[in-house]
Amino acid sequence: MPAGTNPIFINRPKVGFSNTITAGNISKDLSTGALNPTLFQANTLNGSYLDHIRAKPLGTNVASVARIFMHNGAVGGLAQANNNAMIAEITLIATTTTENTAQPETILPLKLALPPGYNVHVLLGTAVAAGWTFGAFGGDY
Amino acid sequence: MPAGTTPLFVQNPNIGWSNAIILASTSKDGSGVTFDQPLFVGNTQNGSFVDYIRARSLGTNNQGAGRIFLNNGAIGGTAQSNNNMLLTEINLPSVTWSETAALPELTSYLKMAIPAGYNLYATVANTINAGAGWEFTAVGGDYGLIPGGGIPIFLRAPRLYFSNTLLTQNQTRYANSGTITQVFAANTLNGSYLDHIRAKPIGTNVVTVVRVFINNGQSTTLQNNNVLFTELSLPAITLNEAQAQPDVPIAIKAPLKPGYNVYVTLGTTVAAGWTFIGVGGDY
Repeated sequence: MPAGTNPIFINRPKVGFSNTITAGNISKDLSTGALNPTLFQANTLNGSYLDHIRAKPLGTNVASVARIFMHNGAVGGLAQANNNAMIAEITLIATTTTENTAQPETILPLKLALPPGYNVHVLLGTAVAAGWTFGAFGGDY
Repeated sequence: MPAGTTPLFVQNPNIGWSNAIILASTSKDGSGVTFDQPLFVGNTQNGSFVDYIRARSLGTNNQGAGRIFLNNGAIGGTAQSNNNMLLTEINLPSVTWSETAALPELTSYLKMAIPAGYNLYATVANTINAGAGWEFTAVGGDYGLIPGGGIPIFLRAPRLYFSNTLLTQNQTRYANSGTITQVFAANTLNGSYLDHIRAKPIGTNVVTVVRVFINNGQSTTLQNNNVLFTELSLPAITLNEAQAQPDVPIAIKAPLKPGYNVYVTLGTTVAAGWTFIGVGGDY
């Protein structure tokens, strides 16, 4: 079988978002503790491209860290530490709710091509009050 | 099945606006908000690209924050908080309306591809209501036929539009009444791109402000059909037959859907008047 001779491009946009996350989970391999819903699911046929993740505070929060994990979809699932890899962390500053000033989002560029069936998850290092929401932006091959 | 081997390009312009938002909302997930209409309606087949969002004051307003939400179009709509994500916020300063000086718009560059059926919504956050209100405009385009248009689109014909002489004031914030003058008409088949408008004085005029409105091709008398896209200060002019009077370019840089029109108004009545030329092209 010959190697690919044409570049591949995404066929359609893909976005995933986490909804509100307030709980902390200190796991460094995603195998323990309460998990949040999957943030981004790669296309199961051809894989996907994950361009960036943006984190938005939803009110007053203590400082924390967001940990981004990749899961390969293999047998044993998330509970099998070898199926997961922490790929990035985002420092989340303490925030105070305000209705008069915009709170900045934090953008983590990833520029990653994910194989079919791979997923991306996010955890917070500490519990926070109002929570954060995360969006993952990319496309399907 | 191979992955896509051609890049994805937008095939049609897409532009949307929120209508005037006056009531304050503290919602962080978009639920509990009565939206007048989406800020941006994504293409339901192939998704869309959102280039930028701009916020414009519609009068004297208190300081606040504009919130932009991404909605995934799922059952339950925006009332279901799990369907929404707070995407970005825009600082909205306190502003005092003027008929002789333009207020700057606030632009947030998103450069974001959104999947089929996704929409954007806007709210204004504050501890009190905004005042006269803010209006948000989203500018982008729709991706093409499945699996996405693989050929970029370009302008294929130049398009210009000359206005009549405008000298009468119109202080409405929506261009839905009073004297309005058309300065551009988008191609009705594929839409057009409006690059800029050139304002030219034709004699002695007092200082004023020109306001540029985009209309969706429906009746201008309904305010929701129009959006205040930008405004610019026009200087006082003294007629002179021995010196050139400056023309004032107004940058627009916006793709327009088929049938969309562009109008201008003046904040104050002037003596001799101004003429306007819309400069762009057809897709």
